[in-house]
Amino acid sequence: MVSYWGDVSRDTSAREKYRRTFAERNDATGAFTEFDVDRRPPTRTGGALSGVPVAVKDNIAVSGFALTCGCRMLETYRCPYDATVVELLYDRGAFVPGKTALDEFGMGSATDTSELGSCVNPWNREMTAGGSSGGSAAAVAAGMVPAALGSDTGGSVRQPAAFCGVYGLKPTYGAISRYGLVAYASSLDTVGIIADTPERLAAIFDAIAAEDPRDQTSSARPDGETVDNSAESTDSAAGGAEPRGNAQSAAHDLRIGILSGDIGLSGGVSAVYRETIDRLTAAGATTVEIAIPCLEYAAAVYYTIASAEASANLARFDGVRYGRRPDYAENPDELTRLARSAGLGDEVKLRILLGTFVLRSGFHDRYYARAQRLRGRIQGELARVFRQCDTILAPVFPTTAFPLGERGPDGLARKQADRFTSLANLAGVPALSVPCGLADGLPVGLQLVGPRWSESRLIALAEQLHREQAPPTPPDFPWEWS
Amino acid sequence: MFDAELRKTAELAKLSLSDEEHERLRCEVETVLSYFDSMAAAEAAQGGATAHAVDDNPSDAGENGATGAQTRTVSQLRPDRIRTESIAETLLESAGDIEDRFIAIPNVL
Repeated sequence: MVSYWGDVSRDTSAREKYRRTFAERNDATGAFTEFDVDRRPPTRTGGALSGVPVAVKDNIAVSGFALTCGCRMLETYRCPYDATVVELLYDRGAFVPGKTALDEFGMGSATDTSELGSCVNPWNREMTAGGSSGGSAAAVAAGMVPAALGSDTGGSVRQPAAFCGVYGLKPTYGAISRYGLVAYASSLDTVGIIADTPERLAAIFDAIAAEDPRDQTSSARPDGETVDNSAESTDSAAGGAEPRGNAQSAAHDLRIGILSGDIGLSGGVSAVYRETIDRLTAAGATTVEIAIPCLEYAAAVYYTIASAEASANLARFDGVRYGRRPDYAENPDELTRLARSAGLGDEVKLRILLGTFVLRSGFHDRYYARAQRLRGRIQGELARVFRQCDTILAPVFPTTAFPLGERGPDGLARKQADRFTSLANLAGVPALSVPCGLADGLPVGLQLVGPRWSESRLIALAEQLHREQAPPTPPDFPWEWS
Repeated sequence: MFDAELRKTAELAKLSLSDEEHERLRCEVETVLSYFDSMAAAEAAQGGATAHAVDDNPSDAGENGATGAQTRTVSQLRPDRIRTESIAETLLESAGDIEDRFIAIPNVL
């Protein structure tokens, strides 16, 4: 990786400058919970990602670092293995300089629910970087790394990417292996990618999107690429997914679905939405007004299902096999109760209680079963929309980054604001957050949403927008990557 | 009324709540549950339940010619090959209390 300092993975003087800048910028943003740019230098040269530092959210396994998930219970847990996505990054010559801050277990919208650390927005340090992958987005926006991995269950990659003015992809459900991602809501969880440019994002996607025998929900890509851990196959995966098409004409003849009427956006976000529609039209796209009535209840469906799945997935944190446990307990039940009560944070407890409640006999039909039926309806509605248009241009979040602390929206308002992002998770389709402009000095991201396996088209459209007008970078944090 | 339900739910979730936590979480849980109740208004419409995001309606798949990708709706199995690598010993080291190769827990009475 050639930075403006030189090759940070091999050149000693460039590395020293990188180490110093990295530490300074982390002091300013809190993007990383743990970092060591020297821990594991790349062992392979000449790969598609040769020498590229890629940050990893701290709910994805990287051997040699902690795996805290932002949870006190796991504060001292050292990760014994690498996630498949991390192995694939290493295979292509990338290295991992550290683990990024997150909301506890990925549950939050502002990277402020973990007691182990929070981070701020590199554009304005009184504002949130978004969440739950706020550390990953802030790390890229602050120029500490050119790319990062996050996880997106209901918008946790796209929303922080939008707040920080960088690109964020939530892939097709099953496109990227989740082996090594700590489970939150398994029917919705995806590993996502945050990057400084669409080209970089495409290179990372090409490297890590593949079927994995260790993740039963992973799917073969349309081009038939598979992950195989045997050494002879590691060179074969750099070929990429379906061709991204002629970059000159990415928008030409495309039907872009746009949402009309009052969809509850702030003035600044609304203005950027209209400008971006004009830019796509000028590039040759046709716009089609679409209606997505289910937007009204998508967030309620999403939170019902996500909480239910979280209550089941987080049952494994019982203090027995790993994680902090109490010094004394009378019996195994008490051990588990004490470990969970002391080790889990407020937002996590709230969601476990909600999830347990909506699955309880007597309440299941009213909440969980109803949410599942509505999820089916949402999927049908999106399938119908994708017959009218090729790609949807939608907001990511109704506002720009909000203030940290008391001045920000309350818990329920934050959850309701996830309506635009959670749609793609409920339907299993890909969505790419693209920085499209500024409002009051803060970035506005909009998302391109397409049918399953349409990542190449979404990235090509983002490349076209990027070529016409590269998004601005935070004034205090010049980007050094070339 | 809801106090008792919350206590029962916390017990099922293996959480002990302090009085202060109980009070705060009661308000939050009630607020979010009322929000979930807004789903009732949307319920009248048709549409079957679905368990997984990959179970999208096959009749809707690929009709716009955008991807040509088929959605798999059945579980897959990995190839039946002997695998010798194991991180069992490393994983055991993460447990709070070990005796020989066993994880120790308090007595089951």
